[in-house]
Amino acid sequence: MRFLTYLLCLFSTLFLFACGGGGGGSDSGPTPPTPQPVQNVQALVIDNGPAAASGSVNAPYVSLTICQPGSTTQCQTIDHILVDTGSSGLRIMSSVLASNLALPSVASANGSPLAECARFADGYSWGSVKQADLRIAGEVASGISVHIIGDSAFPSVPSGCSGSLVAENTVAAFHANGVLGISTFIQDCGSACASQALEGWYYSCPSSNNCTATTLAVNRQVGNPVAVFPQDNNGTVIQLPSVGANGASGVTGSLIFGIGTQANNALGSASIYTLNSSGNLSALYQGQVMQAFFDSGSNGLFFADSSIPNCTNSKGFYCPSSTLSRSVVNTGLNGRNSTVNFNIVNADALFQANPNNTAFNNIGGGAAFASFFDWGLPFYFGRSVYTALEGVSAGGTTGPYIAY
Amino acid sequence: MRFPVSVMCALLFAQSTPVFAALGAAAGPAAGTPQAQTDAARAKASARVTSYSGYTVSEVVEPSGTTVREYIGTDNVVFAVSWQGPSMPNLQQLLGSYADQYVAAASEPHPGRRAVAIQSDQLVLRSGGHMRSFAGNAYVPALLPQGVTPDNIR
Repeated sequence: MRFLTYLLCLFSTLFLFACGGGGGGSDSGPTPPTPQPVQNVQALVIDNGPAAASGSVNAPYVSLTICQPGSTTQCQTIDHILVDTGSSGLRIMSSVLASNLALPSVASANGSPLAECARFADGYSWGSVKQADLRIAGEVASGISVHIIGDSAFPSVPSGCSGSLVAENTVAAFHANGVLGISTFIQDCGSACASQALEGWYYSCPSSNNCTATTLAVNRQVGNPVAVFPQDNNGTVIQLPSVGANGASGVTGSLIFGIGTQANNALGSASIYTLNSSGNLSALYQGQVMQAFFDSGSNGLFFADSSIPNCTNSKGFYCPSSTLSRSVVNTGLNGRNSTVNFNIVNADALFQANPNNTAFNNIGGGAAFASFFDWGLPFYFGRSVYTALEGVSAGGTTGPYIAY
Repeated sequence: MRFPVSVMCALLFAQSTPVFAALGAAAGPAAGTPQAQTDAARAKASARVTSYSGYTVSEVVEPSGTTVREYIGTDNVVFAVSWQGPSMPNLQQLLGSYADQYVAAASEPHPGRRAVAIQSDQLVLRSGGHMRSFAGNAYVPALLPQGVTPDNIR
């Protein structure tokens, strides 16, 4: 049933754009045909998550297709890929990959296969780096490096990786079949890994049990696939509908590629907030100045506030006795600022009263470092949120920036 | 030549740069021993040590650019650690015997990705951020020197 819903969404989106694009191919008049815009919208679905890890809330998923490099037939479409503006790069769980999809290894400078350690705020993912083509909506990222998580190629995890303590190498641990990292960074590590062999990033593996940290040129690193598209390659837009105070089920939205490149991704009335070199801006909350970031892969608004009680059942979330109305002032590096109002409800009560809902705009938690304000998915409901890549022009302004 | 296991471990750690002591453990051998003098020489090369009333902070910038700070009491025991920068530090090394509590907290079933927080009598820890911008700290409440508050740990 879930798969059918996906197909319906996908086809209706395609149909709309086929109609909206205007002009047909049958006109043989003297004027050359206008190039048709590439279909740049992929449906976002917020549901329970993949069967092996159901129970997700506020996780935006897309389906995408990965292919052997250069092929349009040796491909596999994979659902429940988490859309994450808090990381860069496409990472797929090896357990969901078809065994006949033969992706070539990416080699280190000395010719050995590469493995990678991706470290997140709560754990690490380890596995091979392979080459693939990504096809999503009408966009293609050709010959990109993709992180294959949890494969058996290199079973000995180096201590510089396992030192992050918690392995997230399965669909159950990851709550997704993979992650599409579309932060403002073009590569996951960047120049630091190109100039030095850093523990906890890229490893050269001459044999299955021997991996050592290695340098890797930026253009071979796992990175934001959007930057590699031939067009619509300067950023993304996430559009989600508003949801009520009790949340909603069956919520779908759009992941749109490009900013200011097509009619559907113009900035319009959105304001631009430029980000610092770490991908953050300044946030003022309750008199405290923090660094804020925008992370569609976080399922709540995470910020430190010792005055709000934690939940007993929904670990990591806040459970105030009555709904709290709070606000934050975001200020970009460019000086642009705005106040964002939000509510924090009792997550235990909310989840218990609305067991079938998977999208909520009013849940938060204190499980964050005190100096960070994490604008997770609740921020995205009822808005168009633009994420512009570093160093490129998007709608007339050079990224990195966030706009909403 | 055979070393006792504990010595072997110490040597293995010593090979990796930079050198950390673990939370709750002695920052180095007792002052005045030959080993302590060697460590002090190495610390000068790799760390900036700042003294405050009742404790010192040893700050190391890792090759990745992440700054790691160790807070050391007058008893030479590391009572707190903090980190900030583009890469997560090696928590196994930094948390030492407290790593198990981190694993338990971070492994609790949860609906999605998230940061990690621990608030217990034994350990207070916060860890969060995103790829290329992580920060966190941890301290052992019972080891906080007199007059030092959690706000002193940055």
